Order: sequence, then structure tokens, then C-alpha cells
Amino acid sequence: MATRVLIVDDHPEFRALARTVLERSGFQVVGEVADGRSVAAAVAKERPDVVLLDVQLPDVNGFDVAEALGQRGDGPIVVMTSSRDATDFGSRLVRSRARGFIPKSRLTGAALAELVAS
Amino acid sequence: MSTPSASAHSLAGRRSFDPVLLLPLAVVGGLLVTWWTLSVGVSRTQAVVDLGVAWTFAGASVIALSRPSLRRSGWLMAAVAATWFLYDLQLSSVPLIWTVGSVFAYLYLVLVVQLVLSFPEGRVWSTPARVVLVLVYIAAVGMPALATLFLPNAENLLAIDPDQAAADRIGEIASGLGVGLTCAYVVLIVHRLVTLQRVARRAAAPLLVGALLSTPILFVALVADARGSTELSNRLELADRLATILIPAGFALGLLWSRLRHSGASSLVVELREGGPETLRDRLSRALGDPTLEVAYWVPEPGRYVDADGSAVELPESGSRAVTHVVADGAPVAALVHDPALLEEPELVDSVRATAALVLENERLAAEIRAQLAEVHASRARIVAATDEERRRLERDLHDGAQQRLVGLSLRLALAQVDADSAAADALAGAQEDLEGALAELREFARGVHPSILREDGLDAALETLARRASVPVDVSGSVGERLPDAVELATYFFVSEALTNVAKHARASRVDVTVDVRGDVLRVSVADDGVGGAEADIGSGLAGLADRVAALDGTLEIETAPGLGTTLTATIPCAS
Repeated sequence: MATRVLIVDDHPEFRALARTVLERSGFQVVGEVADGRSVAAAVAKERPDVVLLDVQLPDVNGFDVAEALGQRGDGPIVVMTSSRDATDFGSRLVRSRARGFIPKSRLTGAALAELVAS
Repeated sequence: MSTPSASAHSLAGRRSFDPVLLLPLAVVGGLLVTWWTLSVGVSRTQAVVDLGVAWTFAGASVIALSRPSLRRSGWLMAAVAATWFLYDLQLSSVPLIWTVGSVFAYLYLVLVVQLVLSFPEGRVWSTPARVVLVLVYIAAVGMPALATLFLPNAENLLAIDPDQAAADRIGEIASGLGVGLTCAYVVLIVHRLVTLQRVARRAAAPLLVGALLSTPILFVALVADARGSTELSNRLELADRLATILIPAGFALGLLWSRLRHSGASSLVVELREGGPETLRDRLSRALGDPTLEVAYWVPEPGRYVDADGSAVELPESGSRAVTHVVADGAPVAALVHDPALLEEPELVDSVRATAALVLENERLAAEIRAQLAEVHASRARIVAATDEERRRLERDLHDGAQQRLVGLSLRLALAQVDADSAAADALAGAQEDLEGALAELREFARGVHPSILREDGLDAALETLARRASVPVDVSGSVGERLPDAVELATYFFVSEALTNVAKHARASRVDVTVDVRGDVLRVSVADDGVGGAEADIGSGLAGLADRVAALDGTLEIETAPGLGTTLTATIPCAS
């Protein structure tokens, strides 16, 4: 069964590209969300396995959203992404409940699958 | 430089009536009345005394009326002079005149009491004083009016029930009341003298003291009258009326005394030339006798008053503080803010103002320079803040624009590789590698423009990323903890960034220690390397620009370096937000 993914990012072009990339690799994109406020509702409605979460959201910090999602024991796997690289976030990334981080420019189905499986 | 002229401080509006006109009126009127009293049998001694006292009051009233703030008191003095002779009307054989004299004989006394209890504003000081005044009106006018109803004299128009004994009884009661009121009067005057503030007390004291000195005789006369010894009381009346001259005399002496205070102003001339540690404000305050004096200097750009340190000052509009302007060649130089009671001594204020004008002009120039410096300082800080804002916007535009596009491009290249044949796929992979390189450089560039992590996660996190990205091992110790003003955080970040860049380029170091802490309201950050140090550690132009940025925040930059001992750069920035 295909892994269900929710894409959270405020740039519509990236959301479209990410959807294409992931669907080509066999993921099922169940929804797109453009801001942090709407994430909880979308997760409750679609029950994705994975949430691809941008760090820079317009209304809240992506890490705060990851915390909120990770608090429920049965929540989805959270993978952070950003146009900035991991060294810009340092310890915040290590301390967060996210499974990992993929720079946007290196987003591939294989990379996501690797993180999900680990 | 020409001598600054004193500018007039106008209080009330135009005078519609010149009080000097009262003088001929007083002279002629006094002579006519005296001629009349002599013709009805008044003794020469009494006529001379009465004329003298009445003229003294008239003269004092003319002086008082020429000062707007003493106007009401001036009219009261004139009223005393005008009613002084009503007492003698009882010598007339004309019934109407006699009756008026009998009722209003002591009106002059009430007016004197009102003059004293309302000096110098012209309004009675307090409620207790008002009560005493009303009782004096009753005792000195009401009760004689009552007594007149019983006096059996032939000329009495108001006689209802001629009964000398009753009239005498009323007179004794009135005098008894008068004794008590005299004591209350003395208590009120003493209380007033004690509670007045310095400058106001100086103005009012001479008249009040004159009033105090004139009461003992009145007291004794009233006591004698109350106990029925009319002989003694009649003899004392003349002495009492004479003693009343102490009041206008006290008033005039007080004015003379204030003129003598010019000696304070002339010692000011000597002092100012000698210089010394005391400030101009303190010296002026001493010369004027007003410890609450403030001096404000005029700064033509941008057209406002500042104090000696150059900070802006608002002149009070009115009320509890008065303002005297110092002007030279029509242009304002300074403003003296002082106790309004000083306005009673305009000659003193004028002479001090003229003497100090030169020094005030110098102080004004110094204050103007300080104000300009303060403005330059503020504008420098504004420029720094403006460029920081520019950088933030640039970084934002980069992130939302070019970076997003290139990221998208990378993903498209990745997608294209999947569908392409092997040769094309290799080419696309090569293109994507180059693109990743460009993206990395763009990210590095954006960080140099403005580190977004600084705004989002604070200084500690930003320094940590600088440490991690450096080519040499960097150890960051200490932490800032709280958020500091944006300008301070940015300056600190760029300082450490530039310092680390220099270390990487020139120092040939094996490790770098970055320490940061905030103590009190001051942030200290230092970057110490164990490299070559000395002249070989070429401090680049980047640090020079940083020195300006730090200086705009009132901070300092220090460099400690010696050949072979490495280099330590320290920045100290105040961060009171």
C-alpha cells in the first residue's frame, strides 16, 4: 500500500513539484496545506503516514508544528524541509520530534523512503 | 558682541489709567479735608498726624498701582487713605455728616486689616483669615452702626432709642471683640510669615512686619476701651493711628530693600569673570535668591530650548512657574524659569539678566553644539537601523524569489533525469550538481546579507551556526539568554562572522574561542585565536566597517595581538533596550 503523504509549504510551485516527484516514486499525496494553523485539522481528516513540513511557514515556526504533531503517540512521521540547509538549524533539528531533514533541492522519493524506513 | 537688552516681561494688558493721577488728588483732597477738620476743632497735632499717614498711604498706593500684580493691594491702600478722615466727621454739626462719621469712623481700620490679610495678591490668604476679616467688619463697622442707633446726640439721624449707656455697652463689647480679633490677626500674620516661600516672603515681609509692630498700641487701646477707661483709650487712639504708618512705610522699605539686592547682581559680575567650578545656573540662582531657578538655552536649529546637556526642555506655560527671556539683537538667547514671586523684583531680575547675558550666550553656544551632537548620534543610529532593515528585505526577497526558483529547477532536473536516456541523464545530473553549488553559494551570500536564523532563533543559535560552519574548530562559551535589541544582535553576529573570516584567511590558527555574556546592560563578545598574531594577522577592512556600526551603538572595539601569541578581538556593546 502506498505511503500517504501530507505536504505543508507556503510556496505553491514547490508543493506542485513535490507532489509530482513523490507521486512518481509511488507515494500517495493526500493533501497540501499552506500554513501551520491548518495542519492539525488536515492531519485529523486525512490521517497521513508522513508529513513533509517546511520550517519557514508564514504564521508559525515549522519546528513548533512538529512538536505539536509529535505529542500524540500515534501521530504521523514528520520530515522537515527547507531551502536553507541543515547547518542553519543545528541543535533545534536534533532536539525536535522530526524524523529527519531533506533540503528542498534534494527532495526525491528515494530520500523520503529512506528516512521513513529508518 | 553687543550687550543684550532686557526684554520686557508683560503680565497684564494695557493700563487704562495712570496711578500717578492719584497724587494731585491726594494732595489737594488731603489739604482741603485738613483745613475743614481744623475748622471744626481738631488739634493741630492730630491734623498733622492724620495728613501724614493719609498721604503715606496715598503715596504707597501709587507705587503699588504701577505694578500690575500689586494692583488690588494698591486700591486697598488708596481706600485707606480715602476713608482715613471719616473718623473726624463726628465733629461736624451737620446731621448727615455726623451720622456718616459715627457709622463709618473705623472703616479705615477694617480696610487696613483687609490690606494686610490679602497682601500682596489682593485676595485674602485663607479661610481663617477670611473669617477674622468678616468679624472685624462686624466689630468695626457693624457694631458702631448698631451703637449709633442708641446715641443721644442731636445730630444723630439714626437714633431709635437714645440711651448713652446702651451705646457705651455696645462700644465695650465691640472693643472686647476687637481684643480677641487683634490676637487672631497677630497669629495669622506670624503664620503667614513662617509659611511663605523664600522669594514671596522677601516681597511681603516688610509690610507684614510693619503691621505686626503697629498692633501692640491698638491692642492696649482696645483693652482700655473694653474695660471702660475711655480717657486712656482716647489718648492712645492718636498713637495708634500714627503707628499705622508702619504699614505703608514697611511696604516702601521693602521695595528699597529689593533695590539694594542689586549688590547680589554686582558680585555676580566679579564671580563670572573669575570662573570656578560652580555652574552658571547655581550662580544665577544665588544672585536672584531663587533656589528653584532653571536655565534653558535657545537652539535655532531646530528651534527649541535645551538644558545645559543639550536635551530638549519644555517651557512652562503659566501658573506655578514664571519665565523670563534673555534676548540679544532680537534673537532669543536663553530662558530663565523661576519662582513667580521674583516678578515682584523686576529690577533685580533685569540687572542679573544683563550681567549674565554674555556668559549665557557662551553657554547657549555650548548647549547648541551638544544638541547637534546628540542629533548626529541619533541620526547615525537611524542609518544603521535603516541599512539593517534593507538587508532583511533583501534576504527575504532572495529567499522568496531566486532561491525558490532554483530549488524548483533542481527538482525539475531530478524529474527529467528519470525519463531521459543515459547520455541525457548524465548531462542533467551534471547540471543538477552545478545547480546545487549555485544554491549553496546563494545561501552563503544570503547569510552574509542577513542571517535569518538570528531573527527566528536568537543570538545563541546564530553564533552556534557560525561556529559549525567555520573552517577552524570554534568553541562558543557563555550565552546571552534573553533577546536583545535587533541592532545589537546583528552587530554581534557580524562581528563574530567577520572575525572568524579573518581567522580563516590570515591567522593560521588551530582553534578559536568565542565568549559572549551580558552583564548589567552591557554585552561583551570576544573572539580569540591561537594563530600567528601580530602584524601578520592582517585586520581587514570588514572590521573597520564593523567599528563604525559598533560605535553607532555607543560600543567599543578592542584588538589585542602580539606576534606568535594569537589575536583577540573584543566588542563591548551597551544593550539597554
